[in-house]
Amino acid sequence: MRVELHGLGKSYDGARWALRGVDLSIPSGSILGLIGPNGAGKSTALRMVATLLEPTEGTVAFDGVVPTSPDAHQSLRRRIGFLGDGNPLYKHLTPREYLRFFGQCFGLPERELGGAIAEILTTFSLESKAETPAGELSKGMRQRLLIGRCLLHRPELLILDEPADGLDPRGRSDLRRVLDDVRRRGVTVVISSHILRELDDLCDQVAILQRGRLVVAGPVAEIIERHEVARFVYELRMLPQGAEHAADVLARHRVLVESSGMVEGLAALNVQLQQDEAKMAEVLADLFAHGVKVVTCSRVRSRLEDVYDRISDDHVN
Amino acid sequence: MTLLHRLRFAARPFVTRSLRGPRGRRAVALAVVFAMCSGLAGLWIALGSGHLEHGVRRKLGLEPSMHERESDEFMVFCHDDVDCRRIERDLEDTGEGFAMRLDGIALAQDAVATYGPVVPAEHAPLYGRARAALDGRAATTGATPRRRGFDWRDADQRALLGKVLDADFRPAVVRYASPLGLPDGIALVGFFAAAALVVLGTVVGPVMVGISFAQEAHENTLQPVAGTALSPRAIALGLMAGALAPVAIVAVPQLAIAVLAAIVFGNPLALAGFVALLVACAWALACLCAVVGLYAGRRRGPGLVGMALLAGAGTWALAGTSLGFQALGRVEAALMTMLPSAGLVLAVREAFLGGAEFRHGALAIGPEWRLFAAAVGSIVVGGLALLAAERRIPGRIAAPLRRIEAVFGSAVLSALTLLAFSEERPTWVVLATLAMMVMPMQFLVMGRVPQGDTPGVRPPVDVARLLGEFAAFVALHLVLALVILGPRFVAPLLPATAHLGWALGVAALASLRSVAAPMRLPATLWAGFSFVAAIVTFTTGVAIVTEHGHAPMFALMPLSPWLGAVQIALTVAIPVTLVRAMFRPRAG
Repeated sequence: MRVELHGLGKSYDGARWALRGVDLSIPSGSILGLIGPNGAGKSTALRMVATLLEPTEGTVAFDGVVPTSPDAHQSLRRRIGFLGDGNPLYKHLTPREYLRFFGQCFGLPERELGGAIAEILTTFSLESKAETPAGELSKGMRQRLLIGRCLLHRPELLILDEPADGLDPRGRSDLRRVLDDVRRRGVTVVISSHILRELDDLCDQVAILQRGRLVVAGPVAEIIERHEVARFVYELRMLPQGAEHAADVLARHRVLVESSGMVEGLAALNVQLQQDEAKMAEVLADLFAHGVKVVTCSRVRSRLEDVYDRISDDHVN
Repeated sequence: MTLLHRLRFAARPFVTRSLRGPRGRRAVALAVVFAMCSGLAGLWIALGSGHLEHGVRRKLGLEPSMHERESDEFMVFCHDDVDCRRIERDLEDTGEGFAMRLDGIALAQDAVATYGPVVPAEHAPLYGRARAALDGRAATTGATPRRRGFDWRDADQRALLGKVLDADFRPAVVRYASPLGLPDGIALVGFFAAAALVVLGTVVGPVMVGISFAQEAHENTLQPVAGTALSPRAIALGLMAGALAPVAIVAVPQLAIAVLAAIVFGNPLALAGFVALLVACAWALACLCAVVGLYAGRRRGPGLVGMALLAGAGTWALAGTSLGFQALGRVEAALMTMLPSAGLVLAVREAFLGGAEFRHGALAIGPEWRLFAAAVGSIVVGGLALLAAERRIPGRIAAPLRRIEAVFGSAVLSALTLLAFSEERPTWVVLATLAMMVMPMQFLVMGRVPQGDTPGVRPPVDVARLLGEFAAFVALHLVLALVILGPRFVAPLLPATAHLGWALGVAALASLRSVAAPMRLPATLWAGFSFVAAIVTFTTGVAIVTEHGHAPMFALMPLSPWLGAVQIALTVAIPVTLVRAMFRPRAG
């Protein structure tokens, strides 16, 4: 499902905007990461995309169609899986009962429901806890159940608001596996998080929101490329002998040392230049001249987190 | 998709959830137990010969008191062998049985004394027997017979005299037994089944609905449900269906028993009316409890909300039961329209125990029309409450009611209230119905305040427009009063216009204040105080009307000029502070 946001805005009190002027296009079958600090408007945006919140201004188009009537919203929701923030759960229901309840809410026929429930329980490793009340499950298991509920009716658009909250490393790894699987099925995924490492290698596209405004959006690689033009970070690996002179040489060239350590028996430095490759060549020549035995010099690609730090003025996790 | 399919689609997940596992079987077991209880209770009360059963039959108007029966049939009741032997002895001595003998003698003496030429000749043999019996018996010693007079035209008295003479002034000692037979017993079984339906439909069911909604609101579990294929209305209806499913399972056998009993030994038509009214009342109460649960559940736990709802619904049912067992006069009939629980009791009595008693002759508007009006009012109230509930399902930031819906609700309730009391004096009717309508109008105008589901964020409130809408409710009420009652109330009300207007305006502002801005303890106290001031001022307005404009403008002024000054200050301060509170910058 292709999703397009045009001038999307929301004001809860008529005075202040929780979100405004968001234009975004999410191609069918892609995974979009929505990034921003708490209060940036991510949840508001996601709820509007999930048709659960009416925009104050702007529209959301699904495969080019803007739903206007309540009936259109209802039929659209059969194609959307939405995990909101807060993650409320019926604690007295077992995972099987919980999934049955939501399957019926989506109008799944009884003959399909049993199979769909079994598949979700298997996918999310919940078979052994299928008859345990949800209130007695661990936080990670509950989160898996909540995500599983969103996939029960095989949606074409999956919207996950902070899905990794409460997941342990294994749960996060499972979530990546599930999202990869979902992507292979051609499902469009919109996922929000303020933990950037979660999204870096998972998303095709990212959109960064700050104070209700869309700061930047596009394919991850393109954004990183676009925003690291003025930032040159290199990793230098040197033989330990003579490496002690490196710091003086680098300081003379006004090169910032971001980190240092030992890697595979070699001294490693991450350095940042304010200028381009020619300057790095000059620095390398000077290092050689001062007896520093550089073994490798490679440019370090920026991470999403670096880009975010660069273009934002807020701190994020 | 047909309406039935939509309802089934909405109810399926919630009913399945509600009856999952052993819950469905438990409800069925409870239904069987309750049905047996109704059957046993009905037969026991109808056929039992104990004092408790007799007392219940008397309260239900199924049997006269034992003393009346003893007097009417010239006999003395005993309850067991020992009791019977004791009374037999008493008949020869003094005591209860002896007093009965004296009553018989007194009756015969009165009959002989009052016999004269005006008495038809056909009663002469009875007179002769009485005279001979009195002449033939030895003079009683000790107590003097209680003389009460005798009317020879009264067939009952003549029959009683015949019994007394047949028994030779010695009353029969009879083991007490219920005068009711199996048919009456079956009718009573139907009565108890119908009473159980009233409790299930108007107390248990709505409270269960309220608790269910409060729990969902408290734990915010409706948010993911709102993201499914169910519409907000389907969610509201489905949630109600889920909460009511166990109650319905328990109610079905009771309904079957009531229907069978009414068909065999009751009034099926009255039962049909009862069922229709019960459905309307249950609908209204369930929807109202759903709204209360949704709104109150955000801040209060479901247990607390449930207790409050139980107290409210219980009071509603008990007040109606008390009213429904009274003899119907004009005021009782009018109140019955306002309090449908009384109508339910009346309909059950009509179906199983015979009709209601009427005071002051027949009513201009019959009870069946009043019950119909109560049902219409209940359906409208329930519909409006459902709209308010479905708009509170997460994701919506809108007023729970649209303007046209609020105006329609106000108009229907005003018309029903005015019609219910239309047999009284017009001025009194207008004042009384305005007072009764203040609270519904307050709820309707509160329903016009936009509500969001984001904590701490309140959409803007157009106070002037909402006050205008409240004024429109009042104006509509007065226009309907003009149409129904005529213009006679207008002139007497004019001197009290300022008082009534101020009171109604402050009532509106206090209700708006409570939903349009955050309420902390001082604000709650001030809103409560303002409402009390509105009641006092309304009462002053009524006094002005009844005293034809001669009551003081400020009620406290005659007591003390200082108190009067305080009242004048409050008259200005109350509306100003209420309005100002709604215009303060809202917290994020």
